[in-house]
Amino acid sequence: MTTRVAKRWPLLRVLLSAHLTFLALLWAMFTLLVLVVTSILVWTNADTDNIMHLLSVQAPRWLLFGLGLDAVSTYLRIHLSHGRTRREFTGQALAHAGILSGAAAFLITAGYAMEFGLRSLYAVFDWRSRAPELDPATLPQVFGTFWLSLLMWMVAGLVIGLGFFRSPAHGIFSIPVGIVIVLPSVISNRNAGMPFLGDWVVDLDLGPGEILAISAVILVASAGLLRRGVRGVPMRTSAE
Amino acid sequence: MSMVVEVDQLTLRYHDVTALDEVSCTLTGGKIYGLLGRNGSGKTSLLSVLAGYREHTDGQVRIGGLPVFDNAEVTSRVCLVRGSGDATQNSLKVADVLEFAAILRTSWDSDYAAELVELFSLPLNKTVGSLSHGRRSALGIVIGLASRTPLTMFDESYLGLDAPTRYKFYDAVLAEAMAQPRTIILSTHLIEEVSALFEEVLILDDGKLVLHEEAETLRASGCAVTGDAEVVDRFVDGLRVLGEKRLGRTKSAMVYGDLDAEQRAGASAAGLDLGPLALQDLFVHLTEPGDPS
Repeated sequence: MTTRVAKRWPLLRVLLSAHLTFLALLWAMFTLLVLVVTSILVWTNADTDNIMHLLSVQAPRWLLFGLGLDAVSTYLRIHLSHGRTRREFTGQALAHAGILSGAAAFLITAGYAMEFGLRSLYAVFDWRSRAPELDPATLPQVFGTFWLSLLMWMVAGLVIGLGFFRSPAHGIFSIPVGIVIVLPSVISNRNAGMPFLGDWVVDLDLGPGEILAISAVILVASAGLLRRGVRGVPMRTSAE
Repeated sequence: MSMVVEVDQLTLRYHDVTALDEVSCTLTGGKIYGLLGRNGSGKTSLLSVLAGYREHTDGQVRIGGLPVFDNAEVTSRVCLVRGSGDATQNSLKVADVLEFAAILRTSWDSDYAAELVELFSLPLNKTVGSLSHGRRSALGIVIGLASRTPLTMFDESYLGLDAPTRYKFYDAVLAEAMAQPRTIILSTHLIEEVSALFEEVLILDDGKLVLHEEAETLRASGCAVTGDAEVVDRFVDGLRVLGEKRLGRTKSAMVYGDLDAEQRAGASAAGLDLGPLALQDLFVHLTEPGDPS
């Protein structure tokens, strides 16, 4: 226990100490799993494309969404019970979303970078990966795309989490809002993981610049929504 | 350091339920207050408004002259522990809960927290969810006391605690109030067990404040008449009796209202003992449904 008092960004410190450790541990296990799975697939000359896509795209975004929910359901209560204000929460929770999604994007990009080393290893055993080879020059773009996508998913988690923190009815109404928030990332992934949205998402055929602009607008609107939603939110007793 | 709590015509509604109905009171601070009331009387609602957990519907609440809701200057100096505490989440380890408190609470005293952890024998490496109900309550008490906030409130924080641990809690509250004078509000149903700590008492009934008085004045507002049952019955005839207890031939009757010198002398001559009024009997009387007083 420390006697030093954190005067600036205390909630951000709490959130990062809880979520970053969890993320790093999960990444280590996840990376090991991917290495084992892809090595087996390459060894058997199977197609690694779908499983890689599932592991590297779907899992992290749902994880970040869950951590967004947790930031509200667990830490907003702790934050308020220690005499902190709702206003402080919004800024620090959004900063946390930015940093955590950045860290997650960095770890995923590091995973892609490791693939180069793996291909050299496969060559030693005369195995050949059927997955398309990634150009190292595109790694910054991979990082940027993942960062933006994961940020949107985590913000969606914050918004839906806040809805349910307020009341079950608000929670249910916030689910479509959450879907709108993650829409740019769904469009950029050609609607992978949300088939119920239909083909119109793919038919939009938006370019990276347009997706970036839409994402920026949605992020600003989400920040405003969070700020407005957290204002006056009651902290109910567990019996309510 | 203590803060004056000013509540003026405070009303709190949840949809069509009025939890607090034009409650007004002033707590001058630096004392231990007892907040009493039956289930659903509005105790938790009042404390939640004072801690900024909820925004009130009408009226005014000021602590240290400042509005409370979402005002960091005030809420950083207020701590409310409801039941086993809102800062104790089942998935977290006890050590993490205390570490987060040290980061988030500017007035947190880690050394005192460590003392209390030892006093209540709390396991630091276990998760909150794996603790018994009593130990979770004890953890809430640690958070409340070690917060060292000028206004600290415990809302039924004794739930699940065994009697020896409850006495440790009361001793710790008393020792803390003497060592670091601050305003402490205890909301409880175990009135007789805690009443010796109270300096002032507030009683809520159906969302209204029905009494706010110094504990000594309340205890002096009547007396317990104890002695032979027949003699007690004769003595209290015509007086306002709040409650009675009987053990064999011995009876104790709680009488509301001052006894004059002649009545006291008569009691003494009849071999009756006169003791202080039990707060619990007064509380039951004041909150009895349909009681005109």
